[in-house]
Amino acid sequence: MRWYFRDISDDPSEKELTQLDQFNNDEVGLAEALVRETIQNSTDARADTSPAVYVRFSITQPKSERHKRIFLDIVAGLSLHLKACEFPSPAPNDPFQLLVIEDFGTAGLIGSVEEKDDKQFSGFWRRFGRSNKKGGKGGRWGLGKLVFPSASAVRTVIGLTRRIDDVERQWTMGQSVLRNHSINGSEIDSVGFWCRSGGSKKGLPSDDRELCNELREAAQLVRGKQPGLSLVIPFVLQELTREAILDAAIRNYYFPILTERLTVSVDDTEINSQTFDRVASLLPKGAVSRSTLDFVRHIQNCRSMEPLLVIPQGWQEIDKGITGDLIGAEAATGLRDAFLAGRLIFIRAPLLVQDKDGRQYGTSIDLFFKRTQTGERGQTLVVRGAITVPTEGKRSTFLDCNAALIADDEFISRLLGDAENPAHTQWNERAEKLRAGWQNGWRALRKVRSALQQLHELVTVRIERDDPFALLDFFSIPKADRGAGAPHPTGGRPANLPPARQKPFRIERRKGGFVILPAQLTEGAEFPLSFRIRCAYDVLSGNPFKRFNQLDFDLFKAHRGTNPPKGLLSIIEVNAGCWATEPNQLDVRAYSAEFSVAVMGFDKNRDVVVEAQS
Amino acid sequence: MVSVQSRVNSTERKRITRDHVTIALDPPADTNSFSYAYATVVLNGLDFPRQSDVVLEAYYRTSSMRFACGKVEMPEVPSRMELSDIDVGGAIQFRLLIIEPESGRILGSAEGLRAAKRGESTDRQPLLPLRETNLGYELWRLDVDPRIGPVLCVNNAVPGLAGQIRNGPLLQGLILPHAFRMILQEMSAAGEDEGDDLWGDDWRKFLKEIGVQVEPDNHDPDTIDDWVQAAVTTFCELKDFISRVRLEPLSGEQ
Repeated sequence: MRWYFRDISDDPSEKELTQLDQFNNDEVGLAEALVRETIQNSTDARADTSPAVYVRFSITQPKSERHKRIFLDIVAGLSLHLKACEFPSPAPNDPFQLLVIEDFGTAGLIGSVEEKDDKQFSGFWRRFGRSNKKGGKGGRWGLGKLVFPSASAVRTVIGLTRRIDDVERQWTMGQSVLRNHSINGSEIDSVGFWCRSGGSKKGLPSDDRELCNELREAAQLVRGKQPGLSLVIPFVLQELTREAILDAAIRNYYFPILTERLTVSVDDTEINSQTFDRVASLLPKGAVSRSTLDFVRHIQNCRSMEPLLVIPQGWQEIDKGITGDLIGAEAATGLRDAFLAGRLIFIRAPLLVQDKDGRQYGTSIDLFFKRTQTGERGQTLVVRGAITVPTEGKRSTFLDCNAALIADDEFISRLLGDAENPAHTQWNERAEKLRAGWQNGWRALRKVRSALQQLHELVTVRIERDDPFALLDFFSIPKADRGAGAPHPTGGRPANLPPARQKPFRIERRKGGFVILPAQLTEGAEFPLSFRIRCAYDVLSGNPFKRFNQLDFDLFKAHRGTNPPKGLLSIIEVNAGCWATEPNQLDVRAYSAEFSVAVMGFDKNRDVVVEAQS
Repeated sequence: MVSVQSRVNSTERKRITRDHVTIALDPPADTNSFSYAYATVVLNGLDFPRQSDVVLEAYYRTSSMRFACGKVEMPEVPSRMELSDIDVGGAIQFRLLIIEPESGRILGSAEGLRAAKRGESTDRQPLLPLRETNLGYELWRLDVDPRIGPVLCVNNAVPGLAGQIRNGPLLQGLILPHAFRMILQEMSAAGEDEGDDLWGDDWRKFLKEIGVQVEPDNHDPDTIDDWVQAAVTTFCELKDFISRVRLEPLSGEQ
């Protein structure tokens, strides 16, 4: 085996792989990108015979000097190229760790090992910038695979695969992705292959049994004769820790793990549907919220059932969408009631998609809604195949409900996959693969994207609820510490407040009415004193003054003096004058400190609220 | 401005303060089930006849349910109250009634009780509930019930609006100081009726906690305005809305 880098001195064009930064940025860190790329491709490559995929990550060191030497020798062959690219070559005493990634329950890198074709072997090792994906399965090794050399200090990945159609043989080769560089005046391509030496064809893998077994042993691969892909990343970057990988797997793949389509292990920690909660609890708080996990489990339980509603096909037409008119008033009401009752709404939206050759495929997406509980923040989960597409989820976040869009039917998964960016975080209507592979693919994508929003508008109108704790952080006081057996307060002003300010008047209750009198301490009060009285019958809820009705009583018609005619209120003034300005409002002018204004004759079966303001 | 408010208690019905009742609510499970309420009622120190009936009533709009909770001398609240007759989807409230058995006359009540979510425990008492409701064309409004206090209402026709007020610093910074200003302007007078629920005094405690004086003795409108402004300024400073908004990019500017 030797390293082969293409001499591009005669190539008139200048091409460079510049996408490495896509896998380590503010949105997606390296560990996350690596985990997402690995598992997304592995789950896409699930073998038909396997119900689930198992992906193993292991950070390890060779157990012996002999094993270590195997990898050091491979890297030594790169040293000239690393130097020419001004990448540091590892020193003999540098920490040496391998990251091993293996998938099981998958088909392995199928296809020709010698010719370029549209299968997975070529897709993984030879093709850059374009996915080889042709079906719902098989993996879509596009630019995303650059994350593997990006995870190595020497920009290198070594692979070993057994293929489902030929499990007796194993194939190995390696790759280094550097920069275009010059050695001895020759211009050298950025991509190099650790490949079979000799022969007229360059860049071919080896199926040498002894070499493959030695590699398996040196990297402590667990693959026996199972088909799948094993990757070894030498001099793995220090930021790729066990914890970072665990965290990324939990946060990005809770959906297929909880739905039992994926098991992940990181060193000796296995994450499956049974161990998920225990492993997640060990991670920093907030990895995945409890309500999201409950929501996913709930979705999983419901998916075997019939959906509550299948949207009529017409929703996909131009200028149409998911509306009450389309699904009918009865169905719309049923959805709203179910949502109001806090039940999970499961709706299927069928779609017709058409590939570039004009073949039509019937497919569908599943939509889920569940109202959040008071104080709970809603999250939206968008899943394509088995992978969550986080930026699409954030675009459709509804703070009052948890929502999910699951696109795992083969054809819609293919279409959306073609619209996906290399980091699998979002879809792009103008993606090259979408345009090249599908007729009006952008329109189908736009419909998918709008489905959650339209459905949300349909089901969530007019939810009424109270949340007493929503603004606790802004407006609250310590709860009174009553202590065991302490008497309850009977109301009234708390003792630790400053004394109430003096009022120039007070309200006294009388049977069937009230009287306004000067306060006992009226020092400094100036007469005449003007003030306004409002009164209304008390109500069980709401503002009694706003709920006052002239039919309750009318101060304009009040009798002046005692002994009013039956049914009328009476007003008795002493050293004061007053006049009604509203049916329940009096303006008062008190002339001396001996004034009183009484209003009597209210219904004795109802309480009266009185307010006096100066 | 000086304001005095009182209730002419012709019915002689006593007001029971909310701290005598604690209610927790389990929202309905996902299947066809109902909310469940759990309550504790402590009537120590209230001067009701010992043989009076204690009743807890749950209500939402026109639907209501009553649960017998024993006698004043020994309240026995059902361990779990299934709210099967209450309309779903609403903000369920409760009232506690003390009833004279012979006449059926209501001797005392606590009104407008709201439940805490079960398991939700805090050592602080919230002062401003958030209500999602139909506000027509208004986005938000502050409603002040003279007995219960203020409620911040947001229009439920705008999906996610309440959530943004719960979590978004921008809307919080735009709405809450103004709501606080309105609350101070509408704050109930220091009551003279011992039976009244003095929500205003809770807000005076809040003012004291954030280091603001209660209402000035000088009732001149300008002085009151100055006091309100000082309180709002202090509140905004404490909650640091500007820094929090700066930390989160404004939508539409990306």
